[in-house]
Amino acid sequence: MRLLFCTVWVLIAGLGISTSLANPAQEAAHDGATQTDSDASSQPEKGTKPAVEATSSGQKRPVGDVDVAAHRKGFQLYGGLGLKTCIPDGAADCSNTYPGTFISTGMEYRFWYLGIALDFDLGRYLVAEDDDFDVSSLSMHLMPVLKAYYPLKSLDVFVGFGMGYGQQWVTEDSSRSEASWTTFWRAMKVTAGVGLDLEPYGLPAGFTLDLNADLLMHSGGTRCAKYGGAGPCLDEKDLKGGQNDVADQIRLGSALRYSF
Amino acid sequence: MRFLLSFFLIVYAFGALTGCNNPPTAPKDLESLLGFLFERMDDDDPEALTTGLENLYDWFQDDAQLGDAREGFLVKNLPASALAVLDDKERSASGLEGITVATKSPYCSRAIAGLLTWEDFGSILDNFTLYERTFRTDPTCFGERACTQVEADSHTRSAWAGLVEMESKYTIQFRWVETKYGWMMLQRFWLKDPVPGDSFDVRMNANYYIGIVMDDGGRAAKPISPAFRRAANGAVGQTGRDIDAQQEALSRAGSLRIHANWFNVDTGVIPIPDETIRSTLISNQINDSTRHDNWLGDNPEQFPCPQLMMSTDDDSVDQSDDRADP
Repeated sequence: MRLLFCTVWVLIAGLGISTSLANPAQEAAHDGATQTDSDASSQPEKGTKPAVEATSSGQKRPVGDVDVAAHRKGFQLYGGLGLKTCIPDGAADCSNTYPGTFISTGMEYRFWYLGIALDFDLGRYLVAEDDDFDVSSLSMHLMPVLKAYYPLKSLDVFVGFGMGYGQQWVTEDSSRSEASWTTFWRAMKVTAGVGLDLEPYGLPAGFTLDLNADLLMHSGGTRCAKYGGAGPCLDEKDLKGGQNDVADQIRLGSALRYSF
Repeated sequence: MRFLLSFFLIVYAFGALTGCNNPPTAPKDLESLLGFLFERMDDDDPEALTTGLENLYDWFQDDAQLGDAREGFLVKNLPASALAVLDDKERSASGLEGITVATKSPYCSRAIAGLLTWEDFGSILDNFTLYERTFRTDPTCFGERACTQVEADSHTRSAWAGLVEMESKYTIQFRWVETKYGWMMLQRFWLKDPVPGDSFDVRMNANYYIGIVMDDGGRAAKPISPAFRRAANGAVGQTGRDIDAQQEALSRAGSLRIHANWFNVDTGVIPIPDETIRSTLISNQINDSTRHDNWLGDNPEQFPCPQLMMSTDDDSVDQSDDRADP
């Protein structure tokens, strides 16, 4: 419950920051503030400094058409959290599965308008009718993701697609039972979101806040049904009909990213 | 920054920790019994074999022990004397390691015996690119116990660990033995000669197996909760239903299958940890047993299983031939 609360808080805080972030930059641009190299956004280079202006307090902040892409090139690390909900797929109908939370982390190399990332996440659903917390419903993914970025003033819009390792499992401690699905390459992720430069708001250079929505689709792989700690783990070819169905996920997340 | 790095370390350490673990070592009495049964499987006088099977039956009457065995054990030693009786080839027990695991089937031992000795058995094995099995005598009498021993030679090709093709030749034996707990079926096979894989320098030096099928009564097995059943079905299609079926199979009369598999494999240049090989072998035995059960379920007319009459009460065990499957 605490994790859920924290996730909601961070998402709300993130949305609040994004709203307040967008306005000053737009106002600065509207006021005709000095622009730097006009080609910066189309030909960003690592190390290019964003344009700054002095505020009344003497602090410096970026102005109008800041090339946020320029200082986001190279190697990046990020970690975050969010909310997820189950999407039914045939016999995997998401019954007894309430929305849950996840944590995520990853690393990325960004070049030009593209990025190659390795994303990891670990999530947990809330299970209905489980008053004594005997049942856990979890998921995990680890996959390379190709992302495309489009800088829009102070925002950095991105979309991405990845395929890789995925696991989803439900356990009951008292009976030592487990229902699980695992694939090494057939978990697919489609992601879209925005990145916000946090430097103008007091954080050290290189920090950005990502807000993203993900669709995770699950298929293929190996399915285990264990009772008392033991049971078969069969491949797709040994399964029939609804045994091949695995629930998908939709997620909303936020992540703090650092560009080296 | 430090936080992020720490977070990474924690996440990836978690990933490493969730890898394969070694199964526990089998209790000495179980390990000894399995080696004994492997050695005595072909004895002309079945008296010692019968006693061994009855001891094995007694061992598995403990629900806790059965529960542990369902998850699998390591077995270390197969006596050298057990290898000396197989054929005229010189064999060594050194370098052997093994696993044992028990599975519960909802079908009677006669149905399983019928399936295992079925001449078209290879047609249900889709993990073999070649499966030829030649019986030395007609095996159709075996499932019905019209005969009590059959023997075959096999020539197979399959992908070891899903990676390396291996072409192997085995000797396979089946035998029914009558005990005070009813009839039990044994299956024994061994690799005739060492087999090289087609790549990665993988080599199967030796492989020995003994399987026992005995009719079994219902066991204490706690049902899963409705919350878990629904959540399992909700996440991975019909898993709750299938776990329910396992609980039901365990709690009702059926048959117990005990598998023991000893092997000596050089994994060549493939960096597969021993733990992974052992866990994979245990999983394979469980999966194969499930495939057999699924096939029997889909083809109930092929090897019909008469109504099982067993009781959960050991004291009420009827010692007649037709107690479990009249």
